[in-house]
Amino acid sequence: MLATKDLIKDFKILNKKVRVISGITTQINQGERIAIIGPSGSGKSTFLRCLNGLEKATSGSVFFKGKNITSTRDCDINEIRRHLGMVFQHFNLFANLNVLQNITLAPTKLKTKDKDKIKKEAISLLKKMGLEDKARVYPSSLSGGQKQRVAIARALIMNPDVILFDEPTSALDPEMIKEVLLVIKELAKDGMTMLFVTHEMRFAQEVASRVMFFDNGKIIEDADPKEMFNAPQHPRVREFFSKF
Amino acid sequence: MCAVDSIEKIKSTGQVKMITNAEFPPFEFIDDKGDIKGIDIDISQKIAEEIGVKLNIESVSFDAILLELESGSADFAAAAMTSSEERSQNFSFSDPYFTTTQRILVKKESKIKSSSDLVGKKIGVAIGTVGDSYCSSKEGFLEPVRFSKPADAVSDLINSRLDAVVVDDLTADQLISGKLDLIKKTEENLTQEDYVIVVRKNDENFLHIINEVIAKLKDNGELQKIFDNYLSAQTENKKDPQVVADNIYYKYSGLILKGLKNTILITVFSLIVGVFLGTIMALFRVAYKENGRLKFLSLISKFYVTVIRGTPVIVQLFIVYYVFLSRFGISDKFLSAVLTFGVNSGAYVAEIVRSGIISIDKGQFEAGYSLGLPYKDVMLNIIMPQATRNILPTLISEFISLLKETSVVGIIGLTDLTRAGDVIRSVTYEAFTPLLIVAIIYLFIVIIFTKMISLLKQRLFKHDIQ
Ligand SMILES: Nc1ncnc2c1ncn2[C@@H]1O[C@H](COP(=O)(O)OP(=O)(O)OP(=O)(O)O)[C@@H](O)[C@H]1O
Ligand SMILES: [Mg+2]
Repeated sequence: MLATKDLIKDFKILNKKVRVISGITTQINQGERIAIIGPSGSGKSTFLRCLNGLEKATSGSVFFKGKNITSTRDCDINEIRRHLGMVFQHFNLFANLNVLQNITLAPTKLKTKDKDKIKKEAISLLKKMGLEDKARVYPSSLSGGQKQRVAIARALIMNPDVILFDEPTSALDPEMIKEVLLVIKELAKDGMTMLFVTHEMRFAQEVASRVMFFDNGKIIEDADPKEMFNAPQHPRVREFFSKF
Repeated sequence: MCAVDSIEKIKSTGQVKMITNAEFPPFEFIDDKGDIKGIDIDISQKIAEEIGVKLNIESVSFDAILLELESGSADFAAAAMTSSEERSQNFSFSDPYFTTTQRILVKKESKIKSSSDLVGKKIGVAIGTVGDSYCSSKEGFLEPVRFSKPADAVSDLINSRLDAVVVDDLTADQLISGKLDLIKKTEENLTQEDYVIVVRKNDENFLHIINEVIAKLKDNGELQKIFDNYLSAQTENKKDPQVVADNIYYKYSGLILKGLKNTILITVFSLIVGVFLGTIMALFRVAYKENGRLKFLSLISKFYVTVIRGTPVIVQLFIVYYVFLSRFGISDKFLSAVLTFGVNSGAYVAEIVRSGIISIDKGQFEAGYSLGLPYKDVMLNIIMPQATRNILPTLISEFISLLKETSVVGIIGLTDLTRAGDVIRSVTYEAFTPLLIVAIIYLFIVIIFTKMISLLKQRLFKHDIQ
């Protein structure tokens, strides 16, 4: 479904080139639920953002369904992004739109379906999130957990093939983390392909079908959760877990 | 310089254009209906009649008269001007139609009696007048203090900031009437100066006609009649200064309203132009920063903002009016003002809009992109509506500063609020009251719009109150 080949991403920081992703080649198949863990600054977010083109790869390629989406020539990145949902750490709900409009804006503008159908679907998504009474409310008056559930609904209405979660619960108060994780678990059960960057090790263990450990812009260990959490191979990984 | 012949052009267009500075009664002034009247206007009317064409009058600031004449936008100048060396290089002068002299004004109790007493004294003059050059060149005199209006010099005299004021005889009479208990005119005639009509150098045929008209008016006594008419009207006006003053403000309220209307119209139209131009310029730069497109236009936009914000608006006004528009044969003052202030405020609006957009969290862009929305949709539906909330209150502040900045348009002869106050000052020889009235009107508008900003902010940010 998704693949990268020799993916490299450099940032210029104070006029100095810094390599943040240093040559990642990997493949993600339909139905996989991939937890991405690793120390801060290891390039987890950047990797995720390269997958949907929010960051442009310095070199190497990203493939979606076999199509090279890093070549600007034969790829309309906007079209690809419709199939790659993203959920952000800080929600990024559109502040000028109410909850319902947040969800319906993209499908309405992109004319994926007719308007009535979009609205019906949005309302049923809100019901699923337990937020049907918030349709006319503006984001500023929602709690963090409610905001993140709206953000998930906003991604889901595009019927994406994959959803990328970048620390979806890191900005939440502890009591709200559960409600959001529950929604993601629900999605997992329905067979959604997903990648999630997380610091919730228990959640990763429970939901992921595969765990990638990032260090210094590289995937240094890539294993199923049992192996990763019980018998990690790489000394850096063991050192990382010893802090928990 | 090659020979010019205005006569042919005048005859073919059926009109002759006279340029003046209508702030020098009784020679030229704006009456209570906003029309330009005065001795020079009556004489010019006779000239037009002699040629058999219509007279067109335009009033600009005194410094601008010769510029306008030289550029060809007017055919002759009649503005109580005297012939002088510098002027004679590019212009020709008619025979004199009036002769006057400079006089000294002092406080009632002053010991100054003649020019010899002026040595080492602080003297006030009106800038660019004969009094100015007389005092500047006289041995032993201090550098004179130059005012744009003689009335301002007189108020400094009364307040003892000056020892004397040197002005022409007629103006001197105006200035002391109603203030006889405070100031007086000394006996000595300092100069002899001839008022002449000015045409472009070598415009001999036209000059010949003008001289003929002047000779005729002198011979048949009509010139004397014109002078008597205006001078007697003036002395009559001065009988009871208080009544006259009240009367004048009442009479000139129409002029104030006209000025106010112009000030508001110039500001509103300029802001419309500015918002349009500024938004486009800002969008160029944002587009380049966001996705690397429109690099060239973004550079142009940056250049535009830098140049406009780095030069005084009054210089921009001169360039638009005297250089840019005149190249296309356009001499519309209102258009010049709107164009200047529109382009000027566009640069400020561009920065307002740009910082309004930049201040939007990057996450808003990214959330839009991640759903597959193209740049255009993200800007239109997500970014701009949010940016507008930041921009609108600042835009009203821009309106307020624009309103005040437009007060310089008088310099190209447009009657705005400030200019209307100036006109009244030149008629009443009063410095204080007209300025106070004008200031209060500006302040009143500014207070209204400031109030609007706070109301708007309350409304716009209602959603954000958590
Ligand atoms: N737009 C950017 N410009 C410059 N440097 C950046 C940019 N985005 C990320 N970086 C740098 O790249 C490195 C990796 O960042 P990234 O956000 O991918 O790390 P992460 O693994 O997600 O960390 P965390 O767990 O703290 O979120 C960091 O050193 C960061 O400072
Ligand atoms: Mg991160």
